[in-house]
Amino acid sequence: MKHTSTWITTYAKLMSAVALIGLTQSSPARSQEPQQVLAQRIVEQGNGRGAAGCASCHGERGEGMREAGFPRLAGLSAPYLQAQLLHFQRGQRDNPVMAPMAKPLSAQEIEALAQYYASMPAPTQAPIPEPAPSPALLRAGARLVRDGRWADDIPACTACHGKSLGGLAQAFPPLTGQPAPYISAALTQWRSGARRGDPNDLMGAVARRLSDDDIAAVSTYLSTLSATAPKVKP
Amino acid sequence: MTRHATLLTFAMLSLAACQRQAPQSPPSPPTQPAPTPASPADERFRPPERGAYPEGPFGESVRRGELIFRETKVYAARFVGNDLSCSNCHLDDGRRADSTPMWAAWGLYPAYRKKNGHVNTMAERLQGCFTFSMDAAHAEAKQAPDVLDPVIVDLEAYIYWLATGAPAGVKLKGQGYPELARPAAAPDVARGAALYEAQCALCHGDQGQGLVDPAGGQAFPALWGERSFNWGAGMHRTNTAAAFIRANMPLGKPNSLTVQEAWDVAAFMNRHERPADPRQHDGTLAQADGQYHDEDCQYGDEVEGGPLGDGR
Repeated sequence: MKHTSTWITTYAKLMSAVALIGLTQSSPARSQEPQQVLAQRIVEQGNGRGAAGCASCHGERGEGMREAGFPRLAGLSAPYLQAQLLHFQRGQRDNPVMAPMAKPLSAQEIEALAQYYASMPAPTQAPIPEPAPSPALLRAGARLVRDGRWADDIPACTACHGKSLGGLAQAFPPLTGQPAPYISAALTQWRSGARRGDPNDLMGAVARRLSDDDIAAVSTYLSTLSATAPKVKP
Repeated sequence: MTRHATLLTFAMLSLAACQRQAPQSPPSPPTQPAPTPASPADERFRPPERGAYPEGPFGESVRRGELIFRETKVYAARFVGNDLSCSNCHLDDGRRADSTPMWAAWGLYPAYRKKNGHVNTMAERLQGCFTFSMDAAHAEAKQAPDVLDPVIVDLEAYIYWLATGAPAGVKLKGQGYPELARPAAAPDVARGAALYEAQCALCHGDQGQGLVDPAGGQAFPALWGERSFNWGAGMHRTNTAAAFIRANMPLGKPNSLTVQEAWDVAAFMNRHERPADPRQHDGTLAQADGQYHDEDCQYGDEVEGGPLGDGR
């Protein structure tokens, strides 16, 4: 009928116009602000293509979730965060939870998310496990973390991750403010090879020398360190 | 003398029995070895446990010595002209075998040293560390500490304590660096540069400048340039550097490089300028080259811009 075809034509023209506006809006020459907005939307709601809202597991302030062992993202370096999302996509980090979250993300979305979390203030509270860990376990952890065990070619974590374990450069992330189950899983994965992508197999080499007891001690001790701990005096 | 003989016997028995020792009640006086766990494959000398310091003024000197050793720039600032610490190369605060450990050095001094042509005490040996490795000439004091300076005394106390139970005059297993074979091909600076970029630059910087810890201090040392050891330090020699690197680097991956790779990257590292050899100032660079340097170093070698060794 004549009215229907006019209506369809008008509708089609309208949709084309909307699509055209949409295309021009997604051109590469975006200012900073939309990146922030983009990241905020994904963090809260997901990206609508399979990636869930990050905050639902990583916390409203990117602080992670202690009991579940979901890591804090707030205050980690942007290049490090970007690399991790790429590693989840490519399988260098073999993670059945994060792989379906990371794969639907575009390169632009990854960059936006990395910048977003990097600019968030680090959480002030340490994700100390409950019940409180035993002093003996903490002592063993502190020793390994700060002195290493060179007889087994295990350097101190502080040697590469910094005196305050706040990270060095972009390649050595902070180890503070992370829940014990996360660190424990990470070390176990470095040890088994389920997690790779570290420069020059540096973490793999160290992790392969750690026993289960070592991993328990290190992860427990590190989880008692707040991300905003004061500078460690020499 | 009887006590000395008892000590020597005890120490020898300890070494023979793979470090299995009778438990001692803390605190241990400095002449008695601290108890160390034995393992079947362990034939190495073990220094006292960390934190098991002796009591009293001697123990306090040991503690201070350890701090100086670990963060030399902080605790002996007057004598450090660069940003290095003893522990940068004497890993695990002078404890790690095959990394010129201090417990193995103690019993080898006094000794004749070809480097200066006379018998050196440990104190004079330590002065050499400041003169060359710490580049004292560019520090506030302009020279190494006097042999009776508290810095030298505290360092000696620390090293002596690490050597608790070690026999004097014996070259212990793990002393120095493992002997490194000569490379099949001449050390190649270009190959070394590629290896440096792939395995070293992450920590030591693409310009060899090292890495500063945002929490304070130097995380990884400068390997060349004005904040590194000078042309008089042993590490400037290609054979010395190669042996250290092969047995200790990358950090956490010892013995991962081939012999050739270790020589190549050592040659690359020492192909750069660094502060002048303090002995050079008695004469010309060519004179210093002839007198103090040999075929295993690049001091005096012609590179673009002039001979290596001008310093800065």
